[in-house]
Amino acid sequence: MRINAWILLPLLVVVSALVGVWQRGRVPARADWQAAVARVRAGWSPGDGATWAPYTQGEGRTAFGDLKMLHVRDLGTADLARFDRVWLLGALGYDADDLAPEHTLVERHREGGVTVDLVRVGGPKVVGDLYAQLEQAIHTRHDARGGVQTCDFWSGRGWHCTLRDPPEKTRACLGQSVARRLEQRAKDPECGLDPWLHASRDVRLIGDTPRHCIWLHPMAEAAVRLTWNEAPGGDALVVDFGFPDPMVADNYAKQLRVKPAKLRVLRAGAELAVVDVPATKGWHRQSIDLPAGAAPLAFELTTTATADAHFCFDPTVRVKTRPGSAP
Amino acid sequence: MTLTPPSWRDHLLGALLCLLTFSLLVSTSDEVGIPRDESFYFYAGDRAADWVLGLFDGDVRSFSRAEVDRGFSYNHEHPVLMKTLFGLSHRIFHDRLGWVDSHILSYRLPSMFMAGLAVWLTSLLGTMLAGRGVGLVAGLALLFMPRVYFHSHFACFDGPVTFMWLLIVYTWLRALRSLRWAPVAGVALGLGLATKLNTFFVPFLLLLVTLYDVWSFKRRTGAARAPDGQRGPISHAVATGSSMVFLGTFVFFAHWPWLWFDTWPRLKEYVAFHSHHVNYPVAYLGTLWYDPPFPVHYPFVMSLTTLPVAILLFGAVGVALLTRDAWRHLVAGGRGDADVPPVSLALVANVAVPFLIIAAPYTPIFGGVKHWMPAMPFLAVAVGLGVARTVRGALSLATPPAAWATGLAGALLLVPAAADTLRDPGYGEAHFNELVGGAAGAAELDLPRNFWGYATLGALPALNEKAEKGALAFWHDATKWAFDAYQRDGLLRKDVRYTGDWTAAYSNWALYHDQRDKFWEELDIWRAYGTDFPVDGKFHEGVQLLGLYQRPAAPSAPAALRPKVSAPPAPASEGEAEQGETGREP
Repeated sequence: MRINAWILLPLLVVVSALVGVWQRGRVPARADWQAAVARVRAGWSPGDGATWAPYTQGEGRTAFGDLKMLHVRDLGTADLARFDRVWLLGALGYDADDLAPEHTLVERHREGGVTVDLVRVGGPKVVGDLYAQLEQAIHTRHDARGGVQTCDFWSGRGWHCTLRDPPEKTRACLGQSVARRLEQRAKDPECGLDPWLHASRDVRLIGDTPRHCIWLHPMAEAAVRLTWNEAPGGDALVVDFGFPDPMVADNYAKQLRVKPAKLRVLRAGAELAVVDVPATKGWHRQSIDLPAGAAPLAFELTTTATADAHFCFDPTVRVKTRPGSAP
Repeated sequence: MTLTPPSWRDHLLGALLCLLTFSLLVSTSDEVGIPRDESFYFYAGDRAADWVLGLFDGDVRSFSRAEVDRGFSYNHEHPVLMKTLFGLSHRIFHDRLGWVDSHILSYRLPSMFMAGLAVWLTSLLGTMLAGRGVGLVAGLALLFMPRVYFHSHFACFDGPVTFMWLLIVYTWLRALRSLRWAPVAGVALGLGLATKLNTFFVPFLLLLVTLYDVWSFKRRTGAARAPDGQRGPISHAVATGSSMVFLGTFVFFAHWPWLWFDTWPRLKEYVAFHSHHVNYPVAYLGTLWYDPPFPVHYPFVMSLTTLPVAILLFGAVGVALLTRDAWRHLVAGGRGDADVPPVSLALVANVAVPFLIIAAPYTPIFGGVKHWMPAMPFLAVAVGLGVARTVRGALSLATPPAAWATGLAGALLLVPAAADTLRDPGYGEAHFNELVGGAAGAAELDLPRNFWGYATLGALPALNEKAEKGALAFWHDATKWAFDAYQRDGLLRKDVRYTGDWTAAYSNWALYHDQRDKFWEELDIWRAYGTDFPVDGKFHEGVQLLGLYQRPAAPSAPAALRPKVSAPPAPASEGEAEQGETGREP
């Protein structure tokens, strides 16, 4: 039988329309995400984390609220070491099977178009987290003549060195209502705090993904240091770091001003490693083996050019094997 | 292929399609938010209209430089034909006659009317080329292109310039063998130039086709000029070309009072603005493009992924038919006795050139599908031809099918396109077809889905419902003028306040318009609010177009993590520094 090829064109239109209906039908409704989050909350334990995939399915984010969610673009390389278990809310065919094989699926449920997977995390585990313990860190500046300035004003998010006003007045200013802060924005946007030179919890777009990290801006006249006296012992110190994308790549500005920086890592006052921070786009990682036992760790940042040097990093101490897992 | 002069019935069909288009656009206007540029044109339109109306009211006492500058100096990077029409429509239909309740709609009516006219003319061109069935399908094909339909709402220039480009080509086609149409073509070019700079390219394109026409005539007759007493292509081309040069230029200068003073410096400024146009960052297939050279395939890939599949398929068939006809004209047509103007070549060229202008690697990066929209009426004509050919092939007919058969088949085959267009008409810019898995698949491929603050409308119901009295809201990419327009039209509560640009840290509610080049600005909100997640927003097939954030109540610091230095009172606002538009240090 001879097929009339012209009939294929209308058929293709019909098929594509049906494919479109199927594609739209796979997209979870907001209620699906809400039901999935409700399931996660019901089973939540200390040490749990959660994430969703694909990252571009943003509607689910309206349901997450205060859940501890990870921003993960690529499930295969996701760093889950901070958690004992992770809930993965997957849509459009994504699920825990896309995670690295070291993680174990514990349970799976479906809520409409969303797959809710509970995964036991394998591999190294974070036992020390400077981002979480920033309040206990000590922020100092060290000039070339040996002078040390301690930055001991806590703003609510980080440590500051220089205040325009006495600490109490600065705190009062920071504690004002949003409306009051807006009113005084033109003449006093920061309550006298330096908007750049501080060490604070932050979130920055680095390597195309939001990173919760510690902002530490270098200075020309001094090395800036963050000391972590309560750092626990572990097998390795993992330092993730980078400059925000708009500063090193994705910007209107034709000329980028960021230069490479150096991050010295000190353990009990002695140099443990020097991390070269490239002025290139990306969330870089350096893993440094730690000697046995706990000792203070310090991170000292220097650079030859400070303009736009919006350095952000996330140091964690990790053990290679998790308690209860096979060595 | 030749053009048959249209009858009143052909015009009636076009007029009905025009009415349908206009009615649909009016009915969906309140689902379409205000992008940044449209809010600027609202303001510019009122100023221009006030100057024009002042001529009649006596408010403008003269054509003095001061009065002209007052009316036209704002936003002088674009000519004022459309802005004046936007403003006049607002002042007359809303302010004076009260026929239109919505300020926003009243500004938009001229664009919507021109979109209707574009469908009318597209239908007419299809009818003249291959019958009323093709004309019907061509008109419907242009109407049911989701992104074209979306842009046709705005009091902006992209819809109108699509009509103007078509009008210039249509009048030029008529003038190919008719002196009567020559002055009309000149006026059409002038109106096109008065609409947007894109039309500057049209005469050059038509000149090339005209040269081919003359060459073809010479090859056929042995002489470039027609015998005495007759008119050949040169006679018509000289008439049309002169009309375009003189009448076109006259209309352009006459319509724009701002050019009546310091003409040369101002003209240079106008041209320089566009020749050195800022590049708009565009996310495309995993890369954020800030500077040329921009990928040559961008307009082609974006059209392949955003036009309905039916339009792609039958458009391809139609373009192939036109190309084959143009080729035959080149190879054999010129040797025959008949005088056949190169209509097919002109149509194919007008499908291609708007794409090629944007595809050129060193064209400034504009990014939007709207920037090659002038190709779409010609593609729509090709769709009509493609449907007719398909019907003929499928039914194994020896001659072209009856108009009703082509029209019926086309109307049925365009039902999915119509559904795509009208499903979420206010967010047509986020529409992607099945070839990439819809909007969700396009997001995975990092294709652009948003621009310049139009999605604000999607957050207004939630904001109206949830925001506290006098709420301070940060509007991100939406302008203050857009904010004012929403309040003026009753779409946003009057007590909600606008905090200003770069004020996420000083607000309790924040909108984020999702564009990859602005992603770091969403993080400004996260930092200020202490949460990464919106409470509501506008999502298209699950993909965020707009996030609506609410500042959570400030939590007290956990006891285990008390700082060594006593903490301040729980801050209502942890204001990160305002870091300028690029977040760069001063």
